[in-house]
Amino acid sequence: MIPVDPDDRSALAGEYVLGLLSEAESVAVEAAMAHDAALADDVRFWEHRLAPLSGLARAEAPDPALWARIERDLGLAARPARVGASEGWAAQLWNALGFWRMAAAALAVVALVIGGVLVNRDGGRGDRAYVAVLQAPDQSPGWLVEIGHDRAVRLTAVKAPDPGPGRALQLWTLIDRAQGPISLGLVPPTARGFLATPTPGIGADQLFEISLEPATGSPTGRPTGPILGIGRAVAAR
Amino acid sequence: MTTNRVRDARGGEFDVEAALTGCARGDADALRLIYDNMAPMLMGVAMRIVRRRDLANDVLHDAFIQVWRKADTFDPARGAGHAWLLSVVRNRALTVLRKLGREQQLDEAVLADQPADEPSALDRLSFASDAAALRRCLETLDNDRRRCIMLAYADGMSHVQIAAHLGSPLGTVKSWVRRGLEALRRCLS
Repeated sequence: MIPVDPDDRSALAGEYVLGLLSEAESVAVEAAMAHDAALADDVRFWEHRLAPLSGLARAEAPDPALWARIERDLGLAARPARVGASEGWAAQLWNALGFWRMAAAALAVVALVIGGVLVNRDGGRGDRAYVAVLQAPDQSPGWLVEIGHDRAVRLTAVKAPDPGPGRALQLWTLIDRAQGPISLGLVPPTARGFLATPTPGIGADQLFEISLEPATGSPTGRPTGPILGIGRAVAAR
Repeated sequence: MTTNRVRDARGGEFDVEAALTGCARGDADALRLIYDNMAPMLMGVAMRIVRRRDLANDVLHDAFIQVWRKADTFDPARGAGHAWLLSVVRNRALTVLRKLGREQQLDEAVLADQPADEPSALDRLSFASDAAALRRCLETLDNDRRRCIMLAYADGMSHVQIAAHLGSPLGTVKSWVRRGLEALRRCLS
């Protein structure tokens, strides 16, 4: 079933990586790879060289409980909260902001003009992004929130408290005072570049806060527990 | 072979090959590191293929189990740890899709949001240096061949779905894919 001709074999490997083979054909390729080094090389070639196409998919937040499920199913001990305590908070903030600057710069570099037309998909999709530092009650920085131009919300814990058993941290934003706080989901205490639910809107001075809630989140759709961090969005340059 | 350093959320460099080697040694912190840095991107890839959040979460879960168990089959000398991770996730997503009966999954409403075959799609490629080479070579392909490859890879479309999406005969689509892959290989080599 595996072609001997190198071009045909390469095309089969490409179709396998593209996902165009049937289940039976895919299983056959996987089995053959174990003893056919040339086929295995072809498959690795396509997996590596087509990988950048994954950039077409928008990042999505996994279920906040997913990691715990993986840990449990693998029988791994629960990982202690990681806070990166060895670095000063200023350095952490710089690193986090630096990431966004790099991402924005990278997007600018790969902007492509096809047929002389620059396609601006979202109208106003410039390189503006917002950041908010959520301060703890003692005024120390607790979290960094980064909001992309596509309203993706990325959270990094600078100094995050352990919510304790049966409790969870919930992120909120306030866009319309009349509507009240909008939940952006539960966030893990170890958040490092954690993607929360995208915010419905973003603007300067927009309020973000983190409250302590029951493990499954606020039962009322509004913050019920103490506010552990609060801050306002500013435009990042 | 170039290794791609993936930037971690704090702007430092995340060495995915080192993390996979750690997993092979049974270092659970290494798996956690991979999850922290790559789960949202991998979740997005899974979502784009299976279209349902509950299924995508299951795909990601199964993929990480497999990453842990099969990390010793990854050869760090070959580099491209991110590509290996991606292939674990994509293969799992495609298997799930096939089990569901792939033909049911086509959802034009979901597709309309950032389709993989519109002209600006190439703008959104990432992974730095590898992306530039791939984009350059994809641009040399005939439109039809390029669109087929991008719809298959990014959206998990089958030959039949691509044919329906493009309004072209099935045999023609199969030929476009094959010719496209041949031309792409020549360009990338």
